[in-house]
Amino acid sequence: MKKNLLKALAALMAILLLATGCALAEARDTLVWAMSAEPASLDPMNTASMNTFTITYALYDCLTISDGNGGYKPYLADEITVSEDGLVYTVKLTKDVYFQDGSKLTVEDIKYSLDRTIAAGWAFDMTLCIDEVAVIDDTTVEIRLNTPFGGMMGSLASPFFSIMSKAYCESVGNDAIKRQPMGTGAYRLTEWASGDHITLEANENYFAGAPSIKTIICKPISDKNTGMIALQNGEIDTFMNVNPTDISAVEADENLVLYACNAASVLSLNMNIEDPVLSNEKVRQAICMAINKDDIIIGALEGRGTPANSAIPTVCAGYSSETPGTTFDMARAKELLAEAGYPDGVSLKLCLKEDTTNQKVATVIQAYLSMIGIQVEIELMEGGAYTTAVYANGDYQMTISSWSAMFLDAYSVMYSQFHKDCYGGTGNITHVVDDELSGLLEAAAKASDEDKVAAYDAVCANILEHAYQLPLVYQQTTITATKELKGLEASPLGCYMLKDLSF
Amino acid sequence: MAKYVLKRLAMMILVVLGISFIVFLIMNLTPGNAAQMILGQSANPEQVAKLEAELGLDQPFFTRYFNFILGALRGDFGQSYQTRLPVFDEILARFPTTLCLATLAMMLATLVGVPVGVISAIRQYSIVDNVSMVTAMLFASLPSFVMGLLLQLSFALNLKWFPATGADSLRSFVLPAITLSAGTMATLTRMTRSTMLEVIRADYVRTARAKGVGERQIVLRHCLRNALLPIVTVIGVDFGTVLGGSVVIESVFALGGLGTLLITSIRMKDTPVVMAAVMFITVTYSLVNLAVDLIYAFIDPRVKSQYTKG
Repeated sequence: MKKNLLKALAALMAILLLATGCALAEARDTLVWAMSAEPASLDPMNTASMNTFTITYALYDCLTISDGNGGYKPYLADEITVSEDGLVYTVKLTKDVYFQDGSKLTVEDIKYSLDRTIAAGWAFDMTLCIDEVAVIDDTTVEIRLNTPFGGMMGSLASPFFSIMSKAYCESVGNDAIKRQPMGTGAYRLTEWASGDHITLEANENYFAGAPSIKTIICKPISDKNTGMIALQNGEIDTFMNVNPTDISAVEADENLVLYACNAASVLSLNMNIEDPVLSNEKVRQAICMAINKDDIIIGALEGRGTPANSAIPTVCAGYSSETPGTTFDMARAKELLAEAGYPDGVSLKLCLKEDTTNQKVATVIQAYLSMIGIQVEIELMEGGAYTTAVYANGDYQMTISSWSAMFLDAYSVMYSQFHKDCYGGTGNITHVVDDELSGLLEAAAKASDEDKVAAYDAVCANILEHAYQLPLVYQQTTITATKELKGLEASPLGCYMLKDLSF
Repeated sequence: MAKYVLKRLAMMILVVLGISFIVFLIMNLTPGNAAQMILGQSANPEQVAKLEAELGLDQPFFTRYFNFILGALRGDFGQSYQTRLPVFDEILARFPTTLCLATLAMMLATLVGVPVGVISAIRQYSIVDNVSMVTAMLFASLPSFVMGLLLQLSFALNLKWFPATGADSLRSFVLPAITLSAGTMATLTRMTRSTMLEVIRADYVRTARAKGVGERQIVLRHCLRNALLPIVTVIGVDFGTVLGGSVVIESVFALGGLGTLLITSIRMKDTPVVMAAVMFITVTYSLVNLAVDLIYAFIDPRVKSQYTKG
C-alpha cells in the first residue's frame, strides 16, 4: 500500500515537473540563433568573421554605437569630443560600468583595448590613422590621430574596437581569451560545446539594463537546406541568407518572417590590370560596357538585388545613387575592343571560388562577353587555392569578388581595394598603382560627413574612367526568423545586436 | 592468439604511419596556406609571413612532418592553427558524436540487413524477396545527402517524429543513423542473401534436412553460421565507409562531430587538426577490423586453429 502511494506521488511529481517545464518553455526566454559557421575564437580583435562578431557584440561593448540613422553615438563612453583639426578624439568615461567579473571599467582598460586592437593588425585600415592612445586622467582618454579620419566614430563602434579588461586579459593570456571571453556586455558565455552550440546567459548587471532574452543558444548550421528545414521545424529561431530559391517558401510560411536589406558589399567583376591583355584600358572599358547587370539579377540572383552604379555599398556613408556608373552599350564595347587591337576577340579566364551563386553570375557574364567576341573560360577553385591564386600570388585574369565593409563607411571598402599601399593580398587585387586615385582616396578618408559624397564621387569617376573594376550588383542580405521574435532587423554587415531582441 | 593480436597491432602502427605521411603530403601539396586562410582576404603579406613563422609553416616539409610524428607519439598532436587550442581536446570533444552515429548506423544496418537478407534467401523470388531487393537497390544508389534531406522533410518537417538537426538526445540520432546506414544496409542485405543462397544448396544442409532437423535450426545453425564469415567481413569494412560517410551526414544534420571538424579544417588548411582527425578515424577503423578478425575465430573453428598455429 505504502509503496503504491509512493509510486503515485512520484508520478504526480513527474507530471507537475513536466507541466511546469512546458509552461516555462511557452514563456520563451531562450533564443536559438543559427550561425553559418562556428567561430574559431571569440577574441574580437583577432578575427574578421561576422558570425563571430555577432557573439562578441553580445559579450563586449564598444565606445560608440550606431544611432540607427547612419550616424554613431557614444555608448560605453559618456562623451566623445573631436578637436577642431579632427586630430584628437577625447573620450570621457564618468559612469560606472562593471565587467562580468565584477571589476570596474577604467580608462586604463580603454587604452589597453585600443592598443591591443592596433597591435593585432586585423583592423589595420581603421587603425592606420591612430598615432597613440593616451590616458589623461581618471576619466579621460585621448585618441591622437596623424591625419583626420571621417570614419573614426564608426570604427570605434566596430567589434574590432571592443573594450576588454586589462587585468583579465593579462592574467589569462591571449590564448585563453579566445574561449573564455569576459567583457562588459549584455551576455556572458556559459558553455561552449565544440561543434554543437555556444550558450550565452543574460548579464543581469548590464549597465544599459539587462536584456530581455535570458538564454541564447548559438548553433552552427552550414548547410542552407538543413537550415531551412530546421527553421520551418522550429528547431532554430533565425537563419541568415536562406537560398534565394527558398524565399517564396519562407514568405508562404505564416510562422516565419523574412527581413531583407542591401548588404554592405558590392558584387563586382575584378580584373587584374597586370595581365598583358587586361592592362589595356580599352579592353577593360569594353568589358565594363558589355555586361547587362539586370540580366545578372534575373538570371543568377532570383531577381533580388539592384544594379550597382559604384563600388560603394548603398548602406555606406559616402554612397550616392547619383554617382555615374557604367553604361550598357554593346556596339561601343565592340568598337573599343577593336581599337584595343582585338577586332577578332580574345579569350580570358574567369576564376571563381566554389559557390553556386557566383557560378551563375559568371555564366551570365560569359554569355555577354561572348557577344563582343571575348571567350571566357570559367575556372572553379577550392577556397584555399583561390585565396592563394588571387590574393597571395595575384596570378589570375578576372574574378568575381564581393568585398565586405567592416563598418558602414565607404572608406571600409574603397581604401583597401584601390589604394596603392594595399597592393595585392591586402585587398587591391586589381593591382592599381595610381597616384591620383590614391590621393583621392586619402582625401576622401579625411572628408567630413558633408563632403564625403563629393569626395567619393571623384574616386568613383577615376575608377570608372580607367575601368579598374566593374561593380555589378548590390546584393541583398536576409535574415529569416520566427514571427515571435521582436526587435530584429536585417543587418547590412550580417552582424546582429542580440541584446536588442525580445519575444 | 595473443601473438596474432600483437602482430596485428604492430601492423596497425605501420598503417597509421603510412596514412599520416600521405595525408600530410596531400595537405602540403594542395594549394592554399593556413596563415592566409586564417588572416582572411585583407591580410597584408607581412602579417601572413609573421603568422607563418609563428605556426612553423616556414620550416621544410620533413621537419614539420617529423615534429608532428614525434609529438603524436607522445600523445601531443599540437595546436590547431586556427584556434591555437590543443587538437587532442577538440577531437575528444567531437569524437563521441561521430562514434555514436557510426555505431548506431552499423547496428541498424546489421539488425535490419542480415534478417531481411536471410528471409529473402529462404523465400527466394517471393514478394518479400523482390521488394527487399528493389529497396536495397534504391538505398545503395541514392546519394546520402538526398536521402538525408528526404528523411528530414518527411519525418521531421511533416510528421514531426524526430528533430531535423542537433545532437541533444538519442532521438536526434535516429534520422542521421538511418541515412548513414542505408548504403551498408543494402550491401548487407544483398550479401547475406547471396551467401545464404549458396549455403542453402550445400550438401550438409541437405543432410541436416534428411536427418529431420527443424527448419529453424537449419537456417540459423547450419546455413547462417556458415554464411556469416563474408557478412562479418563486410560489416568490418563498411565501418570505414560509415565513418567516412559521416562527414557528409553530419553537415546535413548539423551534428558537431569529427566529420564537420574535418571538413572545416581541410578548408582552413588546419593540418594538425586534419592529421589528428584522420589518425583517430584510422585507428578506430583498424581496431574494428581487428575485432572483426577475432570474431572470425568464434564463428569458424578453422580460422581459430590457424590463429593458434600462427
